[in-house]
Amino acid sequence: MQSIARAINALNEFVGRYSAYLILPLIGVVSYEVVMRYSFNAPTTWAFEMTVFLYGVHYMLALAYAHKHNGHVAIDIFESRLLKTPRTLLRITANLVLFFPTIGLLTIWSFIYFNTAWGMSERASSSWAPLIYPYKFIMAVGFLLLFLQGLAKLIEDIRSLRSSAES
Amino acid sequence: MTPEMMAILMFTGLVALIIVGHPLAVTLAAVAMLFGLIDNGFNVPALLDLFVNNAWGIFLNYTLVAIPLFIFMAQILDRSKVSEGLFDALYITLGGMRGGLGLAVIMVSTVFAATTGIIGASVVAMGLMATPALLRRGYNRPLSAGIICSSGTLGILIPPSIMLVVYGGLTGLKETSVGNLFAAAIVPGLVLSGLYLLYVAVLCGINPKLGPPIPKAERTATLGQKIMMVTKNFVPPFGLILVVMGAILAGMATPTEAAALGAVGAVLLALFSRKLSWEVITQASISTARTTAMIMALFVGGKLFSVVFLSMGGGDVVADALLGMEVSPYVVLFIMMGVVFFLGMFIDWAAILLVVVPIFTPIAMDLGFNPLWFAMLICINLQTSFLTPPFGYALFYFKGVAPPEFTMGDVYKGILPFVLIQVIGLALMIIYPQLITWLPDLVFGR
Repeated sequence: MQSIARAINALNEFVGRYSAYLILPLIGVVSYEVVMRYSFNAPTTWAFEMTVFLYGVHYMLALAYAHKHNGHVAIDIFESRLLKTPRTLLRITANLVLFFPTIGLLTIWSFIYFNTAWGMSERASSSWAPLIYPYKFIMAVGFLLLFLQGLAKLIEDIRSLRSSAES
Repeated sequence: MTPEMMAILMFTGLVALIIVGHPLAVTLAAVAMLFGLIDNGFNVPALLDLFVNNAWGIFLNYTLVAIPLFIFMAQILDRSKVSEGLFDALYITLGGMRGGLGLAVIMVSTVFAATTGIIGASVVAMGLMATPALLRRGYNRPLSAGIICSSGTLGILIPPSIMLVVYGGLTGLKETSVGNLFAAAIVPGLVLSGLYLLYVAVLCGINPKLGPPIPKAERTATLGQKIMMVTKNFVPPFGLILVVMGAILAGMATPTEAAALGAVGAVLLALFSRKLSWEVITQASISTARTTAMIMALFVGGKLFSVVFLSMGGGDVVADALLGMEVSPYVVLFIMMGVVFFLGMFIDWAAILLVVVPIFTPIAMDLGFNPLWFAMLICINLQTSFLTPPFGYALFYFKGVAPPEFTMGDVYKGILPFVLIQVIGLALMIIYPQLITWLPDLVFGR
């Protein structure tokens, strides 16, 4: 089990660190569009969509990384006053009751959503008309990575519970 | 179950689950899922289709792209240490006045409020930079804490600000577009900053022990030197903000485009001040991704919550309760502001914004209030939420970086007068709506 948690942590650390650089092409595309429109009076057909797609990929791939580093806002004022064992138990329960069903179902349905788009080769309704399914795929992957990170946290919490019970 | 019961249960359920300490975004989505299923008779595919469609809608939201761009700009500026230069310059220039250092902190924070849209960053930066100086000069501890926390939170209000982008992206109303919100927030931000300055100047003027001037022997800089120093440190960041805001207000660029130009400008400033390296870019990118993911997760969770809450008639329940009272619209306004203020004592701004605004905005419009004016009142209130005990996040950020002499008691004691100033500021905006509407009317017309 520990090796699964380690593998998930390593995967999300890797994805998070490198997908963070997507901010640079994002800045590039938006600035390019501004320059083309004002300096050359030649707005592009693709920059607008490229911008939203890049941004979508950027934050969807960062969700799990933020979760790994406890970056998601939580009201931990009460929880942090508990002793270690009850706190870990509470975390495990919240993970099982709140996180797993919610993020699990979102993951499954976002893959169904991707599959539908793929099956009909859905395209954006614009003049550039790019294929949509790669982005829906990334959205599903983002939820999946987040789900996996929750799993890794669960494994770690159970281990820390065991080790404190033994000591 | 009646819609009233469902609405009340959904809200109490949320509050009860929030204290468990699980990430708020997930809790919001989980509560939405539970009540959505109860409401639609446990039709899982229908609800999940709705949820995934909403998540995809957020994926395609162009307005929100400004969020990471502004965060990146702030991250780079923060790492290029421009605020330290400005603080040193103002320290020397104003240090000779009673309360002068306090005034310097407020002024630096106000300028940097415009560059950082995220509270944590500015309170932490000011706390690290200014607290040791204030302490060394014998400033009263509660007063120092109050100054740094309150002026540090201006960043969430003074544009460009992430909160205003989230607000604009959430409502999708023409009146509360991000450009309009940016224009509307400038005067209120400056008014609040002015009120802080006035308070510190008067207080220390009456009782110099609270904020003593720097001894004469140490005041060696000539007027010319002072002007040079302030100009040199003030012009680059201020110029950058002027370009970003100018492009938006002149209608030349969307907030998203202006944010990208701002990010490029910040990188250039860092390059010229020789602070740019691949390491700086990497660190800024990673912090940006983390903060953005946090905000977007809340955006998705909050969206799912409000979709379910509104579709099962929760919005009508609140509207009927508030509008059915047959009282002056201002009483209803007072109640809505009271609710936001109260929630702000416990919950993070983004969660309040994402849950409350979709419910309150139609009510405010029903009452005939200008949605832009109403939006700004909410935003000032949310800025205050960072300062209100028991869970004012700015206070915790400050405590986290302040020297150990500062107790939580000092911080709470110091913040109270500033919370009062916030309430006075809010009252001023209600009595004189022009403070909010004048600039947007001027630049965008009616």
